[in-house]
Amino acid sequence: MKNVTEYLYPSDLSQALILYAEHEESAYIAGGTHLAAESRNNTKRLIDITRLGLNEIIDGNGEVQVGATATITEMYSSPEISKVGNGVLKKACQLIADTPLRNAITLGGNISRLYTWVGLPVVLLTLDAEVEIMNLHGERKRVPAADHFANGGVKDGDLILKVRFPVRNAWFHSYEKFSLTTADYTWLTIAFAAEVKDGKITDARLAVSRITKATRLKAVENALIGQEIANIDVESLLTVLESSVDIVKDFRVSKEYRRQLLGVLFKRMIQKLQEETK
Amino acid sequence: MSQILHVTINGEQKEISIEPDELLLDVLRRVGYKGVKRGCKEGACGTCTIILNGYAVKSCIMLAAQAENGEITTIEGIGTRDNPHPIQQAFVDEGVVQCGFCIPGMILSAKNLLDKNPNPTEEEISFALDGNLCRCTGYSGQIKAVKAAAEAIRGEK
Ligand SMILES: Cc1cc2nc3c(=O)[nH]c(=O)nc-3n(C[C@H](O)[C@H](O)[C@H](O)COP(=O)(O)OP(=O)(O)OC[C@H]3O[C@@H](n4cnc5c(N)ncnc54)[C@H](O)[C@@H]3O)c2cc1C
Ligand code: FES
Ligand code: FES
Repeated sequence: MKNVTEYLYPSDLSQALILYAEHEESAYIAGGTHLAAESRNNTKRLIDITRLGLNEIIDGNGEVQVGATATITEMYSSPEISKVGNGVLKKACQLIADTPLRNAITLGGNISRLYTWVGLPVVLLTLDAEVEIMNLHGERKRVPAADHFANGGVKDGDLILKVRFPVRNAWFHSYEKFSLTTADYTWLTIAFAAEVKDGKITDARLAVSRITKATRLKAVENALIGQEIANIDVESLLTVLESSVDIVKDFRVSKEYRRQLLGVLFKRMIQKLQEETK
Repeated sequence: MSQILHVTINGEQKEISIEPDELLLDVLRRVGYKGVKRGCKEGACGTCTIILNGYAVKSCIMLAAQAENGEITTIEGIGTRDNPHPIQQAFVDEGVVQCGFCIPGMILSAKNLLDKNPNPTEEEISFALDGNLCRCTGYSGQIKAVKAAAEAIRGEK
């Protein structure tokens, strides 16, 4: 962060917004794990949002609300988080980076921008989570995760306050991250959720990232709906899956490898679904 | 514009003049805490690990200003040559140090675990040490040493 000339500690939310609005080149800082290392950045004023009480994790009304500055460790060790999606959110937290990084990385910092390598966006997508955001005028809005990511994350001055995760324990949930070491960039992150009634899939969510920006694969979701658990047509699903993602370039690994990887992880998730909902 | 960082380091209150863009790692080394090592400087290796407000963190991937009003423990604060911390002693007894570059960070990660969980399983130990890379040794000896230190701290050894 070569250009930073001011680091400020607002005492409340409204002061944070004022400080941001005052200066054209402001940024909020939470865990700092991305910002501290950022060298191509014109930010001059940093506004610390970790002292505003935005890290609460609250259980209620069929959803768990997680404050934006809760760290991944706080989430991972929270009993409320274990209740979300039969533990899928906890698993996603466990697979993020390593212990000292999880102690610093925050929920808000993980989902504010479209970093394709990060772990939480796909699980926000398969849980139909909602991102609660405050704009510079102090207005709050609740944005469905799918819209939040499709629109490119936060806009200038938007402050993520919390994420509302539906508990959704009646669904099947699965999450996988493929990387060579714990803190290395992932090659593929994938989350899958399905609602099963009377032996049939009645609703589904499938989201991937890294091979593309975090996104739901709606064509596969639609192809899953109506399938009988005992007779899922995996081969035709794999064909839909292949044609539904445009895999981006990655100098570390070929597109062919990641296409194969995607198919294998998806197939395993389907097998798990069949075993668990038998 | 310089600012004053108010921070407690190893129990001592300090006021340190810092630049708002300075990394915590660089500030700690500048004021003499050379046990905080600079390895990769991109958050990957863990040699710069310290304990801040009760959590092990990588000081190369955070700004010093983030530590305002915080409490920091570095390797200098947990033991001396004559009176080593039980984890330091266990690392020596188990012979799990070669070049030593990774060791301060690894010991602080281990301390952070044992402060919270005095009787960890092997799995919990490797999870707590997963951010500390060692280029010289394997990790099994160090995991064994943390187990031995836990027993010593619990008074079972
Ligand atoms: C070596 C390494 C390995 C990593 N591995 C992984 C991994 O495996 N999986 C993973 O998920 N992540 C991983 N990360 C973390 C990831 O790359 C980001 O650094 C992290 O998610 C940023 O979170 P933060 O809280 O530190 O954000 P900061 O660095 O503080 O901020 C990042 C961005 O988010 C904005 N921001 C933060 N909070 C808010 C908010 N509440 N409202 C609006 N904007 C906000 C900031 O303005 C900034 O633009 C890794 C990081 C490192 C250094
Ligand atoms: S120097 Fe900080 S993680 Fe390598
Ligand atoms: S002892 Fe040399 S890096 Fe660990």
